[in-house]
Amino acid sequence: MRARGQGFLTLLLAGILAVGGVAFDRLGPKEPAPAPEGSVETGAWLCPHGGGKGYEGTVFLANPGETEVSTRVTGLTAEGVSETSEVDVPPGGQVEVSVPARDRAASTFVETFGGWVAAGWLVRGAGGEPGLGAEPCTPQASRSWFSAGATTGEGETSFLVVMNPFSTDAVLDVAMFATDRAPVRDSDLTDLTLSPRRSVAIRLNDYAQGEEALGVSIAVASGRAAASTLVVSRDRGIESVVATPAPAARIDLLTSTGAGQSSLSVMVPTRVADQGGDAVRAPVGQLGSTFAATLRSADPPQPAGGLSDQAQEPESAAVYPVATAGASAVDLVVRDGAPVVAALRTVGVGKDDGSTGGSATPASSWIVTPTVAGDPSRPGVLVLNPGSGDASVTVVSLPTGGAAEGTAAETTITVPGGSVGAVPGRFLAAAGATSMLLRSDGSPIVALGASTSLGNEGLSLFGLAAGVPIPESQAP
Amino acid sequence: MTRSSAAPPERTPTVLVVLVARDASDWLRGTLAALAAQTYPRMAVLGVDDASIDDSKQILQQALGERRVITFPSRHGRAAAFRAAVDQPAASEADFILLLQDDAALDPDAVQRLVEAAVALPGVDRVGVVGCKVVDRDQPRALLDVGRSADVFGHGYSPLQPGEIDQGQFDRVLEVLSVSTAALLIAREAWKRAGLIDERLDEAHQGLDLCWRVRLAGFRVLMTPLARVRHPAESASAGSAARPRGHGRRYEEDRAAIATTSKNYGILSLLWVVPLSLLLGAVRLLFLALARRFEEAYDLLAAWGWNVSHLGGTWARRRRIQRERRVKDRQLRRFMESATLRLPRWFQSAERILDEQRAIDERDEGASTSRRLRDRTASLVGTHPVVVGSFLAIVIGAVVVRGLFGPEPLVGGVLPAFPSRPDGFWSELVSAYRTTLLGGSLSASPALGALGGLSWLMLGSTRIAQKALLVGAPALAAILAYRAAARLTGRPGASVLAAAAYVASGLTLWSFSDGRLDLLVALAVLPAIFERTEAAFAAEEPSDGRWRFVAGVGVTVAVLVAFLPGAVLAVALLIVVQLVGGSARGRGLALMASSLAVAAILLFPFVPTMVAGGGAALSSHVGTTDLSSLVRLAPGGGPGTWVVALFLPVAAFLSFALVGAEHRAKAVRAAAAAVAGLAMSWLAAAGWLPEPLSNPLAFLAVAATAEVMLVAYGVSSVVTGLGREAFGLRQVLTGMLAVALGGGLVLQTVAALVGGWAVGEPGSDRVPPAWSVVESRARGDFRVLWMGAGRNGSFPAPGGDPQDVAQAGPATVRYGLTDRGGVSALDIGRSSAGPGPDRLAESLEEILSGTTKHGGALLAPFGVRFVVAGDDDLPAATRAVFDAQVDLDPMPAAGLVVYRNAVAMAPAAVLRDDPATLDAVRASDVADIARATVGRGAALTQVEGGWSGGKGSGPVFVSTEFQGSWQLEGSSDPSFTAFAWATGFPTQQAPVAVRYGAQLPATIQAWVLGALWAIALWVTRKPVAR
Repeated sequence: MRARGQGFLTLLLAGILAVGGVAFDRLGPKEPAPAPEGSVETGAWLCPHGGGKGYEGTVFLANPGETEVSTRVTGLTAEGVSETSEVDVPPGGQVEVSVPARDRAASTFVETFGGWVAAGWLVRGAGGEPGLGAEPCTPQASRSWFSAGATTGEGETSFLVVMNPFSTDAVLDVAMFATDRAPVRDSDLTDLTLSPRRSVAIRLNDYAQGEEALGVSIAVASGRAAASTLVVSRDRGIESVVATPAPAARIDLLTSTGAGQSSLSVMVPTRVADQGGDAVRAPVGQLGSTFAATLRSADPPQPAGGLSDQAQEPESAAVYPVATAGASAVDLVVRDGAPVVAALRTVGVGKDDGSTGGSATPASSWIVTPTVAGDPSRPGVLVLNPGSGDASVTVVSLPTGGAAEGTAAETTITVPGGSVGAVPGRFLAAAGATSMLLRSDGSPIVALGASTSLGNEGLSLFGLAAGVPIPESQAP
Repeated sequence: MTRSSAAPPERTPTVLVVLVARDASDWLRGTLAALAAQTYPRMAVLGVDDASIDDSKQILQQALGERRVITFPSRHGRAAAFRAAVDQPAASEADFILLLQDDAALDPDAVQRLVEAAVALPGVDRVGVVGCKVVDRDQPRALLDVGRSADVFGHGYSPLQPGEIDQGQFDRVLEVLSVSTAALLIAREAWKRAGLIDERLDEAHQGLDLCWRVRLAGFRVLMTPLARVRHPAESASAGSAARPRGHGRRYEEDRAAIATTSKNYGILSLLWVVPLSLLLGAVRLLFLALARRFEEAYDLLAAWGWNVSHLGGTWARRRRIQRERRVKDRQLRRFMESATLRLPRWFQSAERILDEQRAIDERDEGASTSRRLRDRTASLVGTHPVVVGSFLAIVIGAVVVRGLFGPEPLVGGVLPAFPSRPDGFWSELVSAYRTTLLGGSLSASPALGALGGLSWLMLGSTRIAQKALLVGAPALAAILAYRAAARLTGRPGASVLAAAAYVASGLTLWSFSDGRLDLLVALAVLPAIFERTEAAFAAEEPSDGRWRFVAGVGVTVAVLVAFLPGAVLAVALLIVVQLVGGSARGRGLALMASSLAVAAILLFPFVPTMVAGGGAALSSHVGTTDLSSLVRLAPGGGPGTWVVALFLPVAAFLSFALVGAEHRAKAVRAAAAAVAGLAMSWLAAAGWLPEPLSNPLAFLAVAATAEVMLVAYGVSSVVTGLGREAFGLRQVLTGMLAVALGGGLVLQTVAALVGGWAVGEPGSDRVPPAWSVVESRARGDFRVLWMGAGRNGSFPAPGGDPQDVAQAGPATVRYGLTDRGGVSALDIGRSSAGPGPDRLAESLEEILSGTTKHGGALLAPFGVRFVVAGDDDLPAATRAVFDAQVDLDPMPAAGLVVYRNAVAMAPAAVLRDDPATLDAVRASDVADIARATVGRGAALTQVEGGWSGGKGSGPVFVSTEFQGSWQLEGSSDPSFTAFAWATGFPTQQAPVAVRYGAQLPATIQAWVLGALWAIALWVTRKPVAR
């Protein structure tokens, strides 16, 4: 009897343990609460714009928000911090900040406090290096950078501008990829130490001369950095392409206004697929990348430069000629293999070409910073609608002094799916050299600034700069 | 035959008997009669009456005549009597003096035999002292003394066992170090050279001192069994006259031992004896203090004190003794025992065991070897479980901890760093403000007092104290688990098994490996609490009375909670279980509630610390939600946390099935406690319990204790009842239990023997090599913010355990703040609560929200120069957020993720002298702090009572919680709240001295606390027989 009682208790205990175990297993740990809404909005932009003797540099800060944003703008050179200034960016407006650009390595570090702003640069050459280079600044440092925008062909000099605005050394390994040659990994560019709060300009011609397509890969072994390529040519002006932190499986490169002749540079930086960036699963043993390029414009889409199924070796860069007319976009899509990095170079009407690294991700809202160097000018803003439905895009100017000044202008354009539209030139001309806020009510879009300025008819200098996508959390 | 030089061979030596009487009328006539019956021809008797209040004087005078009796008007003791006697002309002419106690009855030929031994032994010369064989007056077959030796520290030692029967085993003349003073024959030359009795010593110890000196003077000391004297076993007069009031025998023994060795040893011997004596004294003191034998500890201290205060007299005597020295110390060694005097007792036990084994051998003669071995093992373990268990525990324990006893301080795991000196603990305990981390007014745990005391007892070495606590706590856990189980079951064998299972459990081994001193102490104390809770709710009244019970449990709980505040949850769980299933619920609840109240009183300054921040100190962010690990009682990794750790829960379950009726109710309660402990531990780790109830480790400790008690109940039932039952399921279950326990213990032991502990001497990657990135790259004080994924788990060494969790969806992290040395023992039991920690949490959540890239600026006011995480222990989302911070630079550090704060501030500094800096320091809005660029400043040095130093001039900032009592010496400028929580002062000229101006209340509080503990410990002390 007593034994039976103990047996019952034992079974009861076993039952409790079993039921408890199952119940706990199903219940699982409590989910943590979501991240609290931050009350402190601060940010940073890294602008490795470079420069040269007599160059003028400008950083545009555009504030699409409703509150004033404070910024701290720090100029960096190879010698260290050149100057620091504090600038307030009014709500719904922009500020044009002159930054030092007389050093090849010149770059600018922008810290923002109290809200979100977009930042883009514009450098204008002088003397024997006329031209205009423009690109958006990059919002964060990274441990890897890639650019397909360099070229060291005849009469062209390419610089890799790397900035380290941080307080620790950045130790870099730079590799260069070209067509039909082994990657260039020079000992000078291995374990290259970039001291804190400094930037450096590496003359790529010293390592790979005569390459029409030269891709650059930077691996930051220690610390962080940001980079861009600056190409200087007496005949083809100045071109800036901001580096991207990761290769992508799809890149939209917009262009306009030029002479109708463009070249698409594509770099396959990795031997192995899925190394950062957008993942495209490569078959086992697959090396390199197979991609297609589609030219989008007001006309029906067509293969760009005949690139419908182009294979490219890994650790290589190649240039493909593309004929463009008016507002158009090259939509590069990797079909198989490793993600790629691309740049589109468009021949300008004057002696200044324009380049852009494009955008990998469409977004609903964009800021396009000015790409004109002065009057006369023909400002242009292009909008690609990569989706299938129409996109109604509201364009609002962000005037200097802010919306409170009452000078903000607004217009709306409709961009059919799969095509490229342009913001009316008259609207842009009336708004002046201001940043533009673009909001799409439909499909996500990609925006780019493409302008010419100066010269007799405002066609002398060609500026091509990708827009800055506005994060969802900051969308106006 | 060689004659003694003490007496000329041509004539019969003269003997003067000095009979000292004190209140001896009841037995003095017998003593005198025995003297009168002596056969020795040349003997005279001199009586000394030591101010007797009875008829002793008259008896002496009647027997000896008035002229042969010296009378003292007041008590002077035997030494003075001896001195008075030798001052007599007759004494100085006598060849020998026989010192005779008034209760010593000599056999008729005793004096004859003594003199013969002194002068007539062949080959024996220079005999200075001869003693008798002393037997019990009432039972003459019982031996009381056959000569004595001493250990090297001057403690007398008799070769006799208590009550040893005289079977002729000592019937030969023995050369010894000393003899009994009941009847001691001393040659004239001997006492003239060695001196008289040291009157300062207790009478029970005068003989050893005198004989030692005689030996040093070149004479022999003999015991002749032919001279027999009967003497009461407990002499009425011995040893009590000179004993100061309130002192015990230990006092007299230690006092005499120290004085004797100080006088008699040569300088070279003293050079090693004195330090060793001090060391052993400290160990004894520690043992006595831990055993709450305070009176004995006091006696020991008093003995030392007496010798210090009487150093002058000792020195004077020493000079004379050393002047007369004829032999070297080493020549006396053969008459002395080794320092390990206790060993004989062990050997005697061993002898007894061997005898038993021999008996088994004889019984099993002809049986197979395996059968004989099995029988012998079973007999040994069955009859002497504690001896066997202790022996195995010592041997295994010594091997297990072999790597911990090097000269370096231990590192690794979550072992807290100890301050460099014991007073570091006491300073923190008394301090009115928290000197660690972000300051504030949360009092330190009284555990620091114990740690300081332990360090002091370890010769002032906190390093040794750290090791002693780490090694000693599991041993103490085993002992207390054994005691608790033995009290609950009455079965030593079952209790030994339970204790072994407790120490070998996954939880204990993991705690040891990780260096969790707080949890180890809790694991040591919890079995006692478990047993006391059972006693409180039992049908019978507590055996030690209610008041003593309440005081005892109160002290125990206070110790437990002082080290691990969350353990109060464990106590509460045990009470709840008893309330549901106990017998005397009302009484039990009253007793336990009273005990908790006592504990609260004993912890009164610490109680606010425990409840601060909504009871943050009660919670822990270390635990596991993995059911397999939970059942194994292994919340982390390390030796002994593998699958074999399941042996304890399996054994507990089987034990529950096997438990007999006598333990059934207790077993049900233990099972309930085990299940509830496991469940609560899981719920706490999973985040389902409110913060103050979330302490997975405390609940897991309850489960471990309860499971161990189940094992004790089960094994106890098996041992008592199994043999009477027919073979069946119980026998099968018993076999399974044996396999589970035996196999588990063996394999856990193997794991402990071969496994590498997380703690140990520096090296072997106990601290991640990448930590040097942090240590080497920064000078001065700074703080480290540690982070890791999820809610639970400790940080890489020396980060310790998390202090809180910052919830941020997929970026959720647990975090903790430490100084540059890692987690500190000064923060044992103390949570992080208050404006500083609150603001830190707010800042961290701001960073994790992803809206800021200036996390370094937000962390700067907390003195955070590095943010560190384990390499695989940071959520991708968190890492992305921190990678994006422009003022937190990622550092190359294999094995760790390290960010260096580019805008770090010193924890205390004189800052740049400009309005912007002052505005920034005064800022309270997080957004303003994020954009501030204050700079590191000229660092201040933390000193006793505050901070000092600095250079230049500017606002003064101290990252300690703002309190109005912070003052700047030499300045009337009031402090202000810096960064909304810290302390700042307007611009000052360095050097500055920041001091806390309200120390007195805390000092008084500390004294009151000390007094309360003294009272509580005194009330619950172990009574000592006087």
